[in-house]
Amino acid sequence: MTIGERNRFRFPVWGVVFSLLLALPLLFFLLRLMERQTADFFYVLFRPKTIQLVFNTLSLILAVLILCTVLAVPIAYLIGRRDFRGSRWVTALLPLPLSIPGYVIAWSLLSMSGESGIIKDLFGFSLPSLRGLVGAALAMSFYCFPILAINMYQGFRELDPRLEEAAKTLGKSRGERFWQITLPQLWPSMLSGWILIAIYVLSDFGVPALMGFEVLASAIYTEIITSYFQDGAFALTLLSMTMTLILLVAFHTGPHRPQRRLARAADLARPYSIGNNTAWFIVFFSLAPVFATPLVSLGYWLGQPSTWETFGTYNYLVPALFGTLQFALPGTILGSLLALAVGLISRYLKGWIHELPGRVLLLLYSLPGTALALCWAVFYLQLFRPLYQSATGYVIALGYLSASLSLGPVRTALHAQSETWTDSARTLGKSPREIFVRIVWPGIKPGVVSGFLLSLGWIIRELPLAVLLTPLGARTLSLAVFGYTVEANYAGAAPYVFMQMALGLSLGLLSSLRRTRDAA
Amino acid sequence: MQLDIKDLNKSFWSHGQRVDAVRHFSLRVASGSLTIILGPSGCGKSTLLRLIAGLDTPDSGTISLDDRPIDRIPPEKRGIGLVFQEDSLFPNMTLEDQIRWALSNKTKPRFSVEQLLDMGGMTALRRRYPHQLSGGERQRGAILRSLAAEPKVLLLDEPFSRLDAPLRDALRREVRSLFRTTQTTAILVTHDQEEGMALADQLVVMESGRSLQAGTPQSLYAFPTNALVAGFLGRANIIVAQAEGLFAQTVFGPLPIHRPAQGPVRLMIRPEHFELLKGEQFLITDKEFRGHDVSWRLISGELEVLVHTDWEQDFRPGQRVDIRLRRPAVVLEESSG
Amino acid sequence: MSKFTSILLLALTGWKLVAAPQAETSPLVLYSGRGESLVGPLLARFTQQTGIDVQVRYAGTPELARLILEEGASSPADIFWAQDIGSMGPLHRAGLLTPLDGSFFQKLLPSFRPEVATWLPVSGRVRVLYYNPQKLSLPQDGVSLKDLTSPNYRNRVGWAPTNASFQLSVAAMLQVWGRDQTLRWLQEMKANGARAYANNTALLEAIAAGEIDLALSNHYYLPRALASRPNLPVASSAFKTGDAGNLLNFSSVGILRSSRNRQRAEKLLEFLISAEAQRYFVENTFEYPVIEGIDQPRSAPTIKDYRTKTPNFDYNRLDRIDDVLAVLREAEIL
Repeated sequence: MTIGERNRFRFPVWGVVFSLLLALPLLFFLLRLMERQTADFFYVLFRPKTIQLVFNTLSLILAVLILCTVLAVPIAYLIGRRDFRGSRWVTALLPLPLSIPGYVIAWSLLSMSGESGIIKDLFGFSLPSLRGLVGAALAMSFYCFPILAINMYQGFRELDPRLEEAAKTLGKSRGERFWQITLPQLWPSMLSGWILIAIYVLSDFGVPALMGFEVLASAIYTEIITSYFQDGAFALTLLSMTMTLILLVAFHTGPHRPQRRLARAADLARPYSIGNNTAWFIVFFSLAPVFATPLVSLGYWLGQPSTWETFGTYNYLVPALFGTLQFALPGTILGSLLALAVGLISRYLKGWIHELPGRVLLLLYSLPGTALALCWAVFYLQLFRPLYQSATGYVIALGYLSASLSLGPVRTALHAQSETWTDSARTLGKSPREIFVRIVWPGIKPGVVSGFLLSLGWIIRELPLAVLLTPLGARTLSLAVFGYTVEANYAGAAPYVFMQMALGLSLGLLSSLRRTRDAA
Repeated sequence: MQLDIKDLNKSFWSHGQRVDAVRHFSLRVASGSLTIILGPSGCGKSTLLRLIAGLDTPDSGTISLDDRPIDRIPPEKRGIGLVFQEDSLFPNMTLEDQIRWALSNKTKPRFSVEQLLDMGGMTALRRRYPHQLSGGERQRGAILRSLAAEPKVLLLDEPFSRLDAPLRDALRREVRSLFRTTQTTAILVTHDQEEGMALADQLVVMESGRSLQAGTPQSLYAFPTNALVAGFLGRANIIVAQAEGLFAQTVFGPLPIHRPAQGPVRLMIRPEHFELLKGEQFLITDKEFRGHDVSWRLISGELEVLVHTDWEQDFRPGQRVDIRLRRPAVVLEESSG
Repeated sequence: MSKFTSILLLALTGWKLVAAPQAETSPLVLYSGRGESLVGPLLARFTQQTGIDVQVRYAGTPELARLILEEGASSPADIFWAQDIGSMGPLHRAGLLTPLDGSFFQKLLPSFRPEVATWLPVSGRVRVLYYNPQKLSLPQDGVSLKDLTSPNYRNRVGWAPTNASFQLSVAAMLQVWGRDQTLRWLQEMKANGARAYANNTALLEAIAAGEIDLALSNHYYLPRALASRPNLPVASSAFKTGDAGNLLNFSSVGILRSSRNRQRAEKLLEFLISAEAQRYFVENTFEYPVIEGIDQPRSAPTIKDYRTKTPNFDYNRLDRIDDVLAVLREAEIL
């Protein structure tokens, strides 16, 4: 396909259909909010408080992106391009932070700092209080950086080493090579990771609230959930979505330029090894703080006798585990399918309309969790009553959410597919279906599975949708955690959090096993 | 299968600017023949091939196979194969799998996988993956794969340009004979004039989206219609002159021309059509021995002339000579860029 | 591929189980704003005694209220159990609650009988002032809310503006002081450096961590925390007698009009105000009982004492959440 070509003839059926399909719940919800709209739309938008919140939100996004990049890039580089002993374990551990509920990390950070913090008990000096922007950014980066790492790890894998070698023979220094050759190739995967993180930060109000940092999402939550007249809800939601759209535009990678390579880096001679010590040094310093932090509070809570008392008398760990899987697996599978469809549409069909479905998914994802849950509740109540609070309804909502997360790695994998292959296959007389099955799918499978595991980790700890949309009597790990934390019984929640983490860890192990099989 | 292209046009937008890739392009390709489209990079050759294959849609014009228009037929149903410059072998299949897959639609394939591999001399390589093959092997493989699908017309987009010279020659000849054996109608685009002239049954020179001239290599070489075509096929001297019937007056005297003309004209003379004589008009500024011939640079006032002779002409740079035509100069038909 | 297939199969079969229809008679459906760790054991006892099965949806009180409002007449819920009484207001005004039989209210302590008969208070909690006894001491009869705006408390006070109990106390202020005074108080508190926290537990932790020295909260967090951390540097104090800060709040229960299980729902309500359940609240969450004859929580003032300190609130008018939000918004706290 030629860059920038406009296709005048075909009606963009797929683009329109998918955009509508994905946007329907959102449109409905906005309509509902608008119904309740009273006169002071602009008053809400331009209050000093709103402006303050917008500023806070933007600062938080920036801080989180910087921190995540610093954390994620070395790790992604190491496991994508270097071979060192034990690199599989690093891959295995990567999805783990995603499955840790945000409050755990927030509490860990808070309990470590301050005058009655654990650090003070252990070491005698107290860390400065981590409340505010710093604490919120740290906490969110801890469990967001795997998103970037997993996106970029794909990007690093798809790098063409020949370009770097050519640059080397031209005498370019390592720095020059990085900025001029490597980085431009990594840009798409980096951007897709950034956009996910940025939009997530936009949507989360739980962790910033715990850290005492007010953001736009907090105001939206208040407006949508508590206020009866909701005059502010519509305005603020629109504001938040506009910000999302601006972010999407800012992070747009431009017209897709397929990478022409002769073979993937992974197919060529083995990636060269790095000294094990160096690698582990880097890994340790990047990941140790990340993993140590939640373990601090979890260890503390598990060490309390009251935890085990409660656990003994009233526990349903195993049913909750199965419950989680029963929803999370179909939901994530649906999500991967949706992401694949959206990715294929935007990659192989011409025209800006085909970019829309991906954007809509991200818009949905940018709503604060409870607002999104309410959005689905309203949608089902009005249009599809039998789906309301049913397993199918919940799984569909999970599917949409999971699709937003899977989209990144799927897109990266699709970009790596050379159009020459599909064009050649067409001139051989092969139908699009045959081409997909024999050519495209084998190439993108690692990326799709990667996206699947990434979003599965997230869905496992997803709470707001579960709270409102699961069928009555459904048990999941995150609901169990919620049952304890809502009464401030953090110790009681600890075993369930551990189970969530264990699931996250097994997913990581699965992904690293896959990688070894790929390389073999 | 005879291919007819009539007045094809295609523009697209790149970086905010409109590019006319193909302009009023017409061509007829006889069944079983090899047509070569020759042109510089960026002249629209690749776009043209994509239009013929159906991967892009033209803005206007028609394409017909055996007098039946195929414009509405999608690429997978056209039966027109396309071999790309590089990188077209599927990375996840062995060579024989690719060829087998290409054959799989045919109920009664003309050639078997083994026959095709043998024709291309690649039987030993059949279980290799693309990244285990050399560049030349990959291109050969791509061609074999396309042939397996028994295309009505096979298009090749600079298939040998990424290979080094000796390999190119060998592969060219192989491919040419392969096409003869299989009676394939083919169009090959290239920027290599040697390739164009050596292989083509019909040669077309393309520039800026337009077909400048079409015909046999000999006719294009001997009688180009404009300076571009002339320059593309070999070295050419372009000289302005004043025509008067069968002769034209130049700064260095009258020259015979290949057809009657009047008034100001531009003449094209191939370097090898000159001979050198002792004389006064031209100063030899350079002499280059090239083994098969000698290349001379001559100057007369503002005019510079390139001459190729065999090695018997015994002059030296610095000497003065006269030149004489062995064949009439060609009058260029149109002024072009 | 086989690994993938097996996971797929597991997922699909699992889903089958979940989607299977419920066999027995339809259970009672409860929307509970109180957590499962608290409510679960109590409901288990109820089911044991009455044989009525209860299915619960646990969520935040405001979320559930909003959900019920959206569900309207076709709500699957029979009963709504809220952490406070503020959320009942919008539901009542939307006509979504069934009027309760007078017999319920007979059993309550006289002061706890709301005029509006659509919701039932089930357990009591009071607003208190938490403070760090190591850093300051408070006068014997407590301080007033207005005292907190003075310079000695600059940057030392914390509150949780998004918390429903806090919002209810603002509703109380509106009732007692009127809008102008309330707004002024909020603005002065903000100017005096009052710090916002996410919830009541965070306030407690903040005092312990030394970030703040005082906090406006509910009474029962402290005894709970002290149970596992006896050395916590936090004590609690009531406000001056008659001060608007002394607010008695209740977790409350209502039966939805959409319920088709009215009789069984009423049984649950009866259970909740039975001695057994009331004792459960006192012992497990350190809340106040709403019926006579139950021992008070140990480390808190008796209800009688408390009654003298609270001003005369009209509980029926304490549900105007929107006025509260409006004034909080105007003070730029929310």
